[in-house]
Amino acid sequence: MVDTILRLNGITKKYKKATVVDSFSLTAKRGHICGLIGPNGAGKTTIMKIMAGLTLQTSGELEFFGNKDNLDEERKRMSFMIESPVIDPLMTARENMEYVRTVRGIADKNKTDEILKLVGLSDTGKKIAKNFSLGMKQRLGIGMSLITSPEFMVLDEPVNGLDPEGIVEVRNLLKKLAEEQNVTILISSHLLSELSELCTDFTIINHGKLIESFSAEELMIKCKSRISIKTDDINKTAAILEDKLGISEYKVIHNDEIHLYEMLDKPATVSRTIFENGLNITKFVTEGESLEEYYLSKVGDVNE
Amino acid sequence: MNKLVKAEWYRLRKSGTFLFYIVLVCILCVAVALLGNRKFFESDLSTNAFAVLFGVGSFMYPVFISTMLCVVASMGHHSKVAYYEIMDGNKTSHIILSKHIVYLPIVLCLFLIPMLSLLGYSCVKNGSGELIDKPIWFFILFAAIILRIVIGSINIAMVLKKLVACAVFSYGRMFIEALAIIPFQIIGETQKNSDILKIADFIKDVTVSFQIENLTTNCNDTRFIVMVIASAVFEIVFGYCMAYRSYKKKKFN
Repeated sequence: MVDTILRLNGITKKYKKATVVDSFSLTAKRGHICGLIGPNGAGKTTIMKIMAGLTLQTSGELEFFGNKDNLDEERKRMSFMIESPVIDPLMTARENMEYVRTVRGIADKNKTDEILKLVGLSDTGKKIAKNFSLGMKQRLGIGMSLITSPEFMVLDEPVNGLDPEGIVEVRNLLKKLAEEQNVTILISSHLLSELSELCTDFTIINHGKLIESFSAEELMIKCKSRISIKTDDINKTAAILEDKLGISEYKVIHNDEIHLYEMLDKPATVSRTIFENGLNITKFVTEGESLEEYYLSKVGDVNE
Repeated sequence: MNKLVKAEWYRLRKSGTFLFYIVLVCILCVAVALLGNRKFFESDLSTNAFAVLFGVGSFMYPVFISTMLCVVASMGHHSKVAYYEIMDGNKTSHIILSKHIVYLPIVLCLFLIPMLSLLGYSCVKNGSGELIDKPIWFFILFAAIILRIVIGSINIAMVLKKLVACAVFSYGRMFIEALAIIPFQIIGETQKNSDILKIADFIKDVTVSFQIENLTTNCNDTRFIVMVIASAVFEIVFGYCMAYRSYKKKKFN
């Protein structure tokens, strides 16, 4: 059984003169949940569309399940939910599900009921999808991507519009699929706190370029703890930290706060030194960086 | 391809009331053709039955049918559910042909066969009249034109993919054809230029509106027969190639 489910190698997509995706590479292992993170217009959806066969890359290579020659054949083992959920607004939830079941050649008719129940839409009756709430549409879209029992799912903003309970349900469902059925999932979302709880791997993309790829374990190390300090003179504090304690790993945030990444095990020494140099400490907290903050620091660095 | 045909048929039946409208338009076209030409039922028909049934303006029937088909076929792209066919990795040729297989029989059963049956009935009862020596050619050419229009509309829907563009193009197509000839005729006649007049004649020979208009008078003419069949084959093949190319280039928004 192939262990590497997805391999994107140097994918570039140009629309006339604009380069939307620039030499982007990504690998996904079986059973992993990969989070694709980036601001609006970063190229996430374009990458997913290239994978789905809805647009052609200008250059670069795709490989699904170790096969780069017959991608269409391998797409039968995958499912996609790209941009907003693709549903026929004039059909009911059941009819939409039946349509996808027919297109994808699934013989088991019970599968429709099973999935409708799973995504909580079994009691929508004759209500057509046009009248669904955004959350219901998202659930239906997720259901339609589950009907084939895919080995690899590509989900673009799947929890967008869901209520908190719905978000937890989707998170648990995706975790269950990855853990119990070894399904590989590539997911993009703006809810970074959600991704940090769900994903095993992360890839940051900005302006179509790969910024960084790392695992959840690596993220833990990257988002190491820090000491946040606020005083009545932040520039003088920075100078004292450098001169008296020889600290170089720190950041001045918004000109009124210092994030200190050294001497985390000696907070008393740091606070005493600042105090002894005649400064009043208004905040002194040991805290950790979240995925969101880490992402913002990376994307911010690139934008600067 | 079987699953694609089933899925398209399912979508047509379940998505809104489009199937109802296709059926309605086809039946109305046949009914209007009959009711609007009462002479058709008279046994002492002095002119031929074909000319009666296909009087001036009868080319509007295919216009309505093709517009309806084009709009319905493009609905899959409008709602984007047609993406599932692509994301499932189906062959482009299978996707295009599945649409033809679904829509063609509907028009054949509800429009073409009833129209030809009526003409056949009239032919047996009253004779084919003075204008047509071999009514079989009339039947063949009429079928070729309808096939051209139906398959052409589906191909256009798959190329344009946009609902409004499909509606405007398929509805306006025959008017555009009719208008396209005017500049050539005016310039040709004012300048007495036979080459330009030949172009005007050629456009007349290959466009659907003029073919239908001249069907009752020219269907014994070998050149006319060749042009009708050749232009039908060309439009079907060209439209298929355009749809195929559009899918292969994967420009789906």
